[in-house]
Amino acid sequence: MSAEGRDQASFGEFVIEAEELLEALGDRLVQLERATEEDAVSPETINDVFRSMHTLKGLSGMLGLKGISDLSHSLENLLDKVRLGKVKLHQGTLDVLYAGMEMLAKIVGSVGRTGTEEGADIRPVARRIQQLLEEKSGERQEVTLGNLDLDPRIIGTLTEYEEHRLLENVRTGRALYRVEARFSFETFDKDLGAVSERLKAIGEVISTLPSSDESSPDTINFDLVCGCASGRESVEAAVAGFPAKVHPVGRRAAAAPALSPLPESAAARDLAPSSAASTAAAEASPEVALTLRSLSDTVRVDIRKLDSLMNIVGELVINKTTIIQISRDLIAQTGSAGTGGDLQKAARNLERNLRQLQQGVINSRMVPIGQVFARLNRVVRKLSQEFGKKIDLRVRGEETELDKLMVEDLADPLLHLVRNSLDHGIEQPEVRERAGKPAQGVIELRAEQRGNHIVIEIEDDGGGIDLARVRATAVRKGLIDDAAATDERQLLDLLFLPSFSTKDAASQVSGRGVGLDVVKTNVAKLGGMIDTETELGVGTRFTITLPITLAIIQALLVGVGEEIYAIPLNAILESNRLLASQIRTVEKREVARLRESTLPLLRIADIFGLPRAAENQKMFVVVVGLAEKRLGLVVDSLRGQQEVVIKSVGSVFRNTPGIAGATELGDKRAVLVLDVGALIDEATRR
Amino acid sequence: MAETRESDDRTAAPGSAPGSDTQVELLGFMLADEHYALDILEIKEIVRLHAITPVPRTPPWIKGIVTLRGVIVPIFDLRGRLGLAEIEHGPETRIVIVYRGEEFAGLIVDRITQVMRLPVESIEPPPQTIGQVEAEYLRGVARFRDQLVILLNLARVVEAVP
Repeated sequence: MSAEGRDQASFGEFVIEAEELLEALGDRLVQLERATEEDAVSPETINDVFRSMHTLKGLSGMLGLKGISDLSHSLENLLDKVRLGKVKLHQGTLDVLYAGMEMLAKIVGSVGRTGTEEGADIRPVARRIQQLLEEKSGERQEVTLGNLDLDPRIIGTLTEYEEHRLLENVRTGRALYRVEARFSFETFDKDLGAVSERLKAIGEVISTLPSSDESSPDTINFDLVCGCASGRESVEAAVAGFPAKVHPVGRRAAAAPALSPLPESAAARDLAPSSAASTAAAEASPEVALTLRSLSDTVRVDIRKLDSLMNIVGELVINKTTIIQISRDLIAQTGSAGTGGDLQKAARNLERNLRQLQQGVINSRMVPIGQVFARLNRVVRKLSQEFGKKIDLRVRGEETELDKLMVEDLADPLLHLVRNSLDHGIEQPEVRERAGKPAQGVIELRAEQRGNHIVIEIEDDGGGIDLARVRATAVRKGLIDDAAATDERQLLDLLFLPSFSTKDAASQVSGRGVGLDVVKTNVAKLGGMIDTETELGVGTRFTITLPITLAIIQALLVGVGEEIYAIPLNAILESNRLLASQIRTVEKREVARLRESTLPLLRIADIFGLPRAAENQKMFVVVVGLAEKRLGLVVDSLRGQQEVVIKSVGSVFRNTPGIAGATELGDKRAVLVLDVGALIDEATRR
Repeated sequence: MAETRESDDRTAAPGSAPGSDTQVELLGFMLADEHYALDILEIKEIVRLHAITPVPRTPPWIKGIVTLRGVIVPIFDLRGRLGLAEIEHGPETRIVIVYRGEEFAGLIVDRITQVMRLPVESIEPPPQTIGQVEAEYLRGVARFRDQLVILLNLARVVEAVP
């Protein structure tokens, strides 16, 4: 491999890893921001951010990516100071952290695309970091270590970080305890881990120190310094069953002169009588061990590997179908008592195992949609500043899982809708106040699983969509006739036509031209539908309905003429005999009375240019529906349900509407899978 | 599948060896009594005709799709694609499976003739049209054992449906 090739390969790895790190960092920052507002910042979260930044610095440094490594170095410095309480975590700090992250993401993106850090100017962000570092932490610590009734030898071995945590615990009103534990040499690592875990459940373990008691050669003693909001009893309960004693750490009336002012911890460590071993033990605290574990129980897998696994599972499903068919034939010939019956039983077992295997592979492709939501959060922060709007972005159901590939393809449509809400939906603060609403607008993102579907809602409490204006624009653009009667749904559908925009001064955010039509196309590609509800002055809600996975689905096979098509079962509401007498023609469109409602019909034979069945032939209607829209597909026969693996028909057919993909039946014949969303669309547009 | 040729090991094809007299290996086939050819490196395998599933809303020269060991492959009727009259498929009809970027495509031809090996220099630019076939579908012409052989411009032939 050439040197260049090697570089590109390692950059590829780096970009994947860096993107993952930045993604996790983004999540953590959002957590930090929330925690800052509630004044409940967890030191673990800050440490996480700090460690991720450190990793990124190391990775980029190794590859000579100077921009990334310099910037992550500065950010790491800043985070270290935050960690130690030397820089206060407030909105300004968070803004700088966000800005730094965005810059890093930008450079990583450029490395991914071009292999260089082209166009990266980290100076503005670096300057802001520098300013923060120069600001002194606002609050003076009113408590010093000297006030605490702790053995000076313990204080002497604390790291700077541990000192800070100790004081922070005092500041937030937690009581301090020293847990003195004695473990046997053989099992001390396990026991110590267990005690630490229990203490962590009720508070924070600030430091773990081997103590210097050498009276018994078979045991080793530890002092665990911890902070806990609940009383002594809870600490004692936590360590019950272990050879441990709990000592509350009190305050001294006056500071011991030798210890005040605070000694520089590094110097103190050097001067302390403890050996190198104790320092090492303090640094190898359970916290570090935990990090290692969480790193090793996750495996990163290229999605293409999962795809190929999925393909193999698909092939197995087809083979299984063939075997079941053979067993049926055998039973038909020789009855169920012989080999045929045995084969059928074996095939049923195979079927059960296959289903588990399939579910396992599908599960391994599932990721929480929160990944995308977190990215949106960052965008909203940025945009709301640009627009001078106040936005509270609320997120619900971020744990809802979706196929990884779909999550990626969803990012852009969701971003577009959120931008749309921010730009066109939420009003300026003064407009909102005049309308009697709180100045801060709310955009809510919700995800939820309903059966085989994922429903994602984007709702704002903004001005709503002015349907009269939509109508006027549509008439002006010649999309509808001025005289035409239009209902709300038809008007809202117009919004999704290419280059429809009602905002008179289109801002650069939502842009003109690329708009909701792109959102609709992208959602349709994922086999989904989008619905809009709006009320003037109250807000707008977009609802996206998607299948959980695109890979393996249950389908209904239908016959039209000599052809067989598969219709995804998750889009089917019901299927019925259809009598010619049930069909009516309204405004040149065929509809059927189905119980109490009128159902528009679409004859597959007509739209696909196949001959219609003779008048006296049986007909069936398959009622499909996504979101609020319903349509009856008229077919000649129903041929039963089957599990099918949807495959792409390839780019040759990228401009052929109505086809979602193809699948292979047991007899190795290819069958087209209908794109229900596109057909519903087509029917409503006709 | 006696006629299946795996040419995955494409770098090993002898025609691609560098040198002053660079040779190219071509697969020859018949279409409407003319000799046509494709570079062997563009070809994955040759299969017999089997059930093609029609795809609606496509031009007549797209015959539909087949599955090839689990992969969906679009099938082009090469006669129709080149503007020649389509005929009934017979026992000698074959589908030439070609590479189409990351995907594959199948071309229906009347009959496979032979594999030809000839010097690259012997390939000349195509005339404006040959019969009814437009120059845009052609890469060149060559003589092989006193036969005129027409080389196809594969990329143009297997373009996406408009």
